[in-house]
Amino acid sequence: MTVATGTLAKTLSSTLGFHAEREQLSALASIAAQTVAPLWPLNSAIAVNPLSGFEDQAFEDALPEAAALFGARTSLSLAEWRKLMAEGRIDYVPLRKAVVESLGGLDEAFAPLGPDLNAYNLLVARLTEMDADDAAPVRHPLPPAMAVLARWLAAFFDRNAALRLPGRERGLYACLCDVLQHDPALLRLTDATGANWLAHAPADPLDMLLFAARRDAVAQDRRLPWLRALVAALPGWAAHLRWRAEHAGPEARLGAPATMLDLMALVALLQGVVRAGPRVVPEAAGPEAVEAALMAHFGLSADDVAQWPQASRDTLKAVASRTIGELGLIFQQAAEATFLGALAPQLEGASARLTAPQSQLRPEAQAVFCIDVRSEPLRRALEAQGRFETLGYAGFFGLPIAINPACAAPTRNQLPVLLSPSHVVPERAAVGREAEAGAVLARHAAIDDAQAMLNSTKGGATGFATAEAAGPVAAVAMLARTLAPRLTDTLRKRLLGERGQALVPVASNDHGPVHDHGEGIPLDQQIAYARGMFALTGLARTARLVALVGHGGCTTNNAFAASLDCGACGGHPGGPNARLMASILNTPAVRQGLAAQGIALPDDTWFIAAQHDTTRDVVEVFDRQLVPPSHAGDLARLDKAFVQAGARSRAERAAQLERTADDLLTGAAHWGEVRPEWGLSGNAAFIIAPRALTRDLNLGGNAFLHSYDWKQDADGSALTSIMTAPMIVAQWINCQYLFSTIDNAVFGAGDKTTQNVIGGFGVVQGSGGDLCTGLPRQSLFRDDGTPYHTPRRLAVIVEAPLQRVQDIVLRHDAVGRLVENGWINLVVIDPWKHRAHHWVRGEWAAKPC
Amino acid sequence: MNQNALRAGAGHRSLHARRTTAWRSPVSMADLPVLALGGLLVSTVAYGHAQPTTAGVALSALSLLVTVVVVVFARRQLRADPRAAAFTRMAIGLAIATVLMGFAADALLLCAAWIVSGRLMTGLIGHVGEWAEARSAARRASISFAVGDLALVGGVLLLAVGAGSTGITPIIAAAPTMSDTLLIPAAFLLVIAALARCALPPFSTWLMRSLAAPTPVSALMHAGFVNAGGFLLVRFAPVLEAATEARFMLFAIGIVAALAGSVIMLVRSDVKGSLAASTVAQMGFMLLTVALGAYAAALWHMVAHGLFKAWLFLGSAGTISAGTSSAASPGAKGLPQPLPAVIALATMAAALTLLMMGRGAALLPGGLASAALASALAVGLRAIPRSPLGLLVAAAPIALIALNAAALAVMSAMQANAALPLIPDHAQFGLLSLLLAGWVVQQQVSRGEIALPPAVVARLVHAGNPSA
Repeated sequence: MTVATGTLAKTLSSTLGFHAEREQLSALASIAAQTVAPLWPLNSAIAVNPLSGFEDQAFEDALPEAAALFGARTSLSLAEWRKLMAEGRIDYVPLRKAVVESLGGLDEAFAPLGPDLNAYNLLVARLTEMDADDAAPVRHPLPPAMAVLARWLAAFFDRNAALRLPGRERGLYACLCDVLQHDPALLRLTDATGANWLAHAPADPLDMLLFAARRDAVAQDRRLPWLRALVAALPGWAAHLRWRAEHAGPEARLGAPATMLDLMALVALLQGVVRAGPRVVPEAAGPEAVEAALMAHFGLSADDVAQWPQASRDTLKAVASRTIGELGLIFQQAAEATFLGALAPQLEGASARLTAPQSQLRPEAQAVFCIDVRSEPLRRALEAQGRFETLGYAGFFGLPIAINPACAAPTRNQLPVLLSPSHVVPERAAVGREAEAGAVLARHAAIDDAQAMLNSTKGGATGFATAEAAGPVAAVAMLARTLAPRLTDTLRKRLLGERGQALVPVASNDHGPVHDHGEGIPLDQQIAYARGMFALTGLARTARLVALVGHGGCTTNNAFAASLDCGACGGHPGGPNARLMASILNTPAVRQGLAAQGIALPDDTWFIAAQHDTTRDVVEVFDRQLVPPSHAGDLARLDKAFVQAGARSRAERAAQLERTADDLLTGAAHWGEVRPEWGLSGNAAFIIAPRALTRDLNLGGNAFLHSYDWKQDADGSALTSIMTAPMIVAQWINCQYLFSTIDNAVFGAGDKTTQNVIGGFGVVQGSGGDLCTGLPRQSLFRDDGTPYHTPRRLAVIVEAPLQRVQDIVLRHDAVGRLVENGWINLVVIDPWKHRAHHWVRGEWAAKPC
Repeated sequence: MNQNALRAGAGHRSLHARRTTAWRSPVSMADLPVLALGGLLVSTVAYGHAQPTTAGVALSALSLLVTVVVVVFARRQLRADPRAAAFTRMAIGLAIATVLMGFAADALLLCAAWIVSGRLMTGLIGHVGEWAEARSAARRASISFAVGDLALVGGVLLLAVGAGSTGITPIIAAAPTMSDTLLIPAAFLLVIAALARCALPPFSTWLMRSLAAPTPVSALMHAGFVNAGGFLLVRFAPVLEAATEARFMLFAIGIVAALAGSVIMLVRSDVKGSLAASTVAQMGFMLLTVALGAYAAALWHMVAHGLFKAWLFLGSAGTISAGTSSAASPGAKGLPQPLPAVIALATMAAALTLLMMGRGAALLPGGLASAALASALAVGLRAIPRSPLGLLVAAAPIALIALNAAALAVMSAMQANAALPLIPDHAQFGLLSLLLAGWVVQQQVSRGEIALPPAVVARLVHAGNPSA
């Protein structure tokens, strides 16, 4: 065998153009690395489009290709779609239009094939009438060699590993090549030849790939798909690796370097060592069977059809050969059209009414919320409480910061992952609450110490005594958390204090910017960020009190807790950003700077920060002690409005969750709760317009709302910022929910109850396997198993001149790619004619609504 | 009418629509076996077939407490699970069977309850029936339990023949005088039954693979179910004491499990897998204690560990760590040298002193508790200068160990230990030294000061997995 490998190596090196081939493979490998989207660790979970590597293709082409690569289904089952239709989430008319369009137009759809029969009838029968199987997506077991590799990858990437793999510092490929040679599980799967492959694997991962490409006789033009398949062998771990390589700080990689090339080489190595049989894909009913069923459905015999003209028979064949994915896409288009069809006319009407003179009364207070879909019900409820005005802005309030916490915890990024932090701001005691901050820090440090004591004694021989000593405490804790979760939670907060109240990130101290360790934000930057908020939201007249409201979820014992926090703050609660922005805006020097740039705020305007608890619909106001006495009355009125609006919004959300409002409060504190809230499920639209356009609508918590006034944005720079940053993030979120719903076993994280936290940063199902990506089943599906989230692409609705939007789409590839390839539906409302226009493949089509 | 017909049709097609149907009788057919089991328990008590023992009460109390917590927990956790009702039924059935087992005065009744609880656990492990991993785990458990069941029935029958009665009291009374040809095989069979239930080698695989079950099932399994092996051997203690060979086998396997489980725990990167490995080690320690004859200590360990493990399993979803490196979880990486060696040596010196003074009966539990206390303090003392709360933190382990000692004393007052210890006190000292040495090595491995050979790591990484 050594001889064989030796010869092969010789052949390799003697081949002409060896270096060129190697270079080429290396280039292809870096393209193939983009097959998976980066997967953030769950402590700062970020929604991403699992198919982001396919966005340069049209949506309808990308989906089947990606599904085939990852072994996913391409659509909900027809039975599930029919249930959604029966619930009224898809109207008949949009479905009819989608069917006609998919058949190529009215002529083709309604041309008679035989007596009383046309292509439209055939397709509708397949969609809504004929028997369809209702198989839930299944968890495919990994091939045995990949299961082995997955276990090693977990051991290699483990953050908290008690035992570091030997040779970890030499890199993923070198380290695992060594241990795999001794792996009894792997050796049992292979024979002497395979063992020899393992023993003589090339030392360089690229050489390994080259070797494997030749071994498997992969032709030059098949090499990219081959490499992509290597990445897709363990898509979850590959996605983690991509995050690690592109988005993690250097400290995450320290002592354990790893590249996608390493992973591809390992997969290629093991695929050679253990020859897996071809994956058995259960064959869906072939077109012939479907054709026969179609004929039977319409009472046609083979003789009847034989008498049809050739063109008609071809049509029958074409309809019969439509895949479930193609049929599902028709339903999806109909669902999108149903949503837009209901919404667009109302927006057109509101746009027309906007031209009438608006009330000039100064609002009682204003509140700037995150664009998150969960802000919408609360904003609507708040506006109903009086003359309150609300705006939507990205939840990091334009501050590109990382926060350096006051305790020992590592610095955390509080900004969208599209950006990298420009400033590190320190966390300090809030003014007037220094004593409290010290106490809170001490108590949290004590808890950390107690945890450290448990950690240091729970393993090995001392673990036997530790288990005995901790048992009674565990019993009390268990009973308390189960039988009195809310009381326990209250007591815990009372005893420990809440870090988020007494500690606050600061841009500068009394003596100017904080200069120790280069932390803080210089004044001119503070002014620029403050200005950004006014420019992007079109906020012109400020009230006496302006609240900046960040948001965060409230849940316990939940691996996916961060997915309920603010994505714009890097998967963390947004309160700290709101507080920092409010303090910047209350700084006299900043006000002067703003006035110099033409944004003169009234002297009586005071900014306060707050945080919207999206699970309980409670708004927590920060830094009350700083509010001037003159504004105490304003704050009291706003407080009252927040409480009433919260109750109203909570009741609305409770109905969506099919639970009582009180049960939501319990669920937030209960350690067994698997669905504390619906999160961003249901998200369907991103509306870039003044709030006045949507103010009279109940959007049901399904829309991202970004305030924007086209009249104040002559050069379109604000709109460009919105469409190239928050809109992209919204599209990631939308696609994560979309694909996690379509195939929860592959693109989602599966059932929460069988998840197993691995390495401290992710989950797997059961005892191991591929790292889970996406969202758990309980976040998307109701208790009875029907999807709560309707798979729909994001409808981006902008009120702005057509030309301005068109320029942005054409100029910015990141936007153009999504629009042109149909990953979002772009609708623009012409502010003069008040008509909605739909961008369809390079042209504006007046939306027939 | 037409619409109703449609809806009914849809209900038949869909797996999940079952629970949405409006009609639901308070008691379904599936509840009947559980009710029957409950009826059996009531009549057992009513007709005087129940016999409270310390071991039985401890096991029953643990099982009932954990079942209440888990069933309430699962009402939320399994809210979207179409088989949630089946889970509740089986969990309650399991609790009833465990109580029946704990209070059975008749060995045959105990066997029956043992078998029923094993079958119920098999069903719970295979909860996610459409998942291959769950099915294979249930199959594996089923085989292990079958071996254990057969061993138990065989052992009990031999004892019944020897004692001329199936009552546990007569059997125990007859054990010291029973013929060795019956007694020795019976003791070995009882030990095998306990090993299978406690997931000790060679039966550990079923437990390591059972992670395909939902979290509440794991909590029930690790607290109440696996512990039954310890109960069984304490209940039949005189039989075990009369068969020193069986006791030594139990002792040896207990040590192996305690050490192997601890090492596997080191390499598992998934929280549930590492908890399962820890259970193997803890059960090894419990049965090792039984073999030594320290029944009170074993029973207290059974109860306390069960509670501890249930708590850890139910809270396992909250173990996402905040940081990007292990710096975020201090302590997990082991104590710096030379602390572990110093602690181990000091413990051994203290133990040796006690031994010299002729008071070496509780060397093992006492030695381990003081080593645990010392290493907790090594971490906790850092907290003292930080704030006044630091004192509280440092006092916590002392208070807990004191509480532990008190509980042990109470248990000792209720449960007699073996008349004769298995090994002399100085051998117990040797065992303590072995465990402490293992602990020192483990601390060094955790800190990366000792590298395990790749071949060993490879075996540990795959421990208990299907292809291993």
